[in-house]
Amino acid sequence: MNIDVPAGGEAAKPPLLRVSGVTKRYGAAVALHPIDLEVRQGSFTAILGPSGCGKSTLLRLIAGFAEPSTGKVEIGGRDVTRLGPENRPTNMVFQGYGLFPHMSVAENVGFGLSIARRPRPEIDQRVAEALRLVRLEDFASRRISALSGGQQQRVALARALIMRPLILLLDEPLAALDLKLRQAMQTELRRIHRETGGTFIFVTHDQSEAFSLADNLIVMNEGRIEQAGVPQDVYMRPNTLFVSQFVGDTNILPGIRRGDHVELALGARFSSPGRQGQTTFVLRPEALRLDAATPAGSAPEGTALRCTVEEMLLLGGEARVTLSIGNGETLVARLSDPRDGEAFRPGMTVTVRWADKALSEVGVAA
Amino acid sequence: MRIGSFAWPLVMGLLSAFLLGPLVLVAVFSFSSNALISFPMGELTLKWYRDLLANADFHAALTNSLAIALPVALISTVTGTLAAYAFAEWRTRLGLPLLALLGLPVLLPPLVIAISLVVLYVRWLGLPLGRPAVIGGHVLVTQPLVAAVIASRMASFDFTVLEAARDLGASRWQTFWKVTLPQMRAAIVGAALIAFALSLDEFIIAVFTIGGGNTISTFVWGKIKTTLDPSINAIATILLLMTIGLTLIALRLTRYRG
Repeated sequence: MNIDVPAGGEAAKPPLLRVSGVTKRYGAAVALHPIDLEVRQGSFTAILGPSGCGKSTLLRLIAGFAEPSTGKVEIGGRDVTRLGPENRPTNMVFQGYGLFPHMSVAENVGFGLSIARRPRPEIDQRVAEALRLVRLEDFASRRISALSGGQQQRVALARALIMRPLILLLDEPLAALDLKLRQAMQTELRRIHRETGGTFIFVTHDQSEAFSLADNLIVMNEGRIEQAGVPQDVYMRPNTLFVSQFVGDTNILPGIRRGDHVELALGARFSSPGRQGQTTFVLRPEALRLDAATPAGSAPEGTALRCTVEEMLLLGGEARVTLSIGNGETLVARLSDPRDGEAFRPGMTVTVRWADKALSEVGVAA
Repeated sequence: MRIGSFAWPLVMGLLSAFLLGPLVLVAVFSFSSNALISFPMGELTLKWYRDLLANADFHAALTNSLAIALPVALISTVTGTLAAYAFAEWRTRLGLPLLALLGLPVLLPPLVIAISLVVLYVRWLGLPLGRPAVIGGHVLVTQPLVAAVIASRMASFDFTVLEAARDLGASRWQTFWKVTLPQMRAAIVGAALIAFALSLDEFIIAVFTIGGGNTISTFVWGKIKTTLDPSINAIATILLLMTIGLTLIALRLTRYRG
């Protein structure tokens, strides 16, 4: 019920978090170019980018650990730009967890409430609730050092969630966990997000983590937001070459637009009005279809090209086929069923086809 | 190989005997009725300890020593801890060189420090010699050690907990009291005990800057110049026990890993 707010309601309600014109510089170095960002109530937002792209800086600006050089941060309609982390309705799950080693699990979780001088019975009750939420009921009196990494992660979550933050911030929440545990924690995070109905924002450099958790994706690079939107849209319709390459494998197809048609360097021509001259399109490997039998020829809804199989790799659950087009260009196709791949041997001549709507224009590649 | 395996324990044994022998002798003869350290030992007696307790000069020296060692432990613990904490929290590249600079007094010969202090106090500042003068001198050499102990604890300190505490609503002051200090407590108490023990048996700076009066170590020196009073053995034994005891506690505490 938090997942899809109808468009009308969305427009009527102001966003929970609004970041406007925020920049951050350290001396001469620019960590963030002007950032504008809105996050609505109840969303699970991922800020995705390579290390050093400014995503952690942005998270710390939202949490109040850093002050922006210019611009404004508003939470729930209130300007919090100059407030420290202790005065913001946000709580953070830190990358290294930052648990208090001299306290028990329950004392860690209850820390914020005891600082706020809540009455003892209330603290006890809410600590029990928070521990139940993260499924650590039986660990209340344990020492932090006696917990595994995954359990520590849950304590950090409970310690932040008990404060009932308007926004929960998570800094690379799963980076320290091994693969199995990471997958289990992803499920847990989704469940906790559903049960609390809260607004979560997390930072990650792992695109699969971002896609498996988030309903709202922000891709950053070199201190700028490259693209924001629903994860599937970002994947299918990347705005820039960087986004296209960062969120998955991609075929890069340079071309030239003349009139209402684009001619791709690999020999295809299709209808696409827009800015004249040099341009670049990207095409996901799974959008390609291979066919050993049918001859070439332009289909009304797409393109078909004759090409030669150069290499075929079976990668467990999928097959990856590298194709060479006559003029030295190559394409990579991904077949979701590896049994389909077995039919294609290097040297075979096949037909590759794709729907023109699978192509995304990313402008002139640098 | 055979000879080697016997020779090494032998050498180590002799070396230990040479290093520890005098200490053992002093301790043993503090309970002997002989006036000199000579065998046979004579009868066991607590006479020298009783003499000491009755000696007003010893009382005065002990009072001085404690009145110096306590403030030294307090002051150097506060300043040393703050220094180490500041250098660690700034996380600047200057931190380590600054800490080393602060530690310079430990590397200088105590005699040089003592003479410099007298010159500083008397010639430049026009301050009288006495307990405060000794306290100043001792802080100079104990503070770097405190800072070193705290800095080594800081090296394994997770600074994320400070941000976590503030994120959960704690002020800087609350964070210090509820998060930083409890984790540092053992190291701080240990460092204070080390400073106390160092001050208690420090001699050179004390003898130069105490002016009139005595600390325990200058009291012993005075006695040894005039007589070979066996009550010196008793003082030495008391000092030895106190220093070893404090150091053991300090070692136990500072090795603590929260």
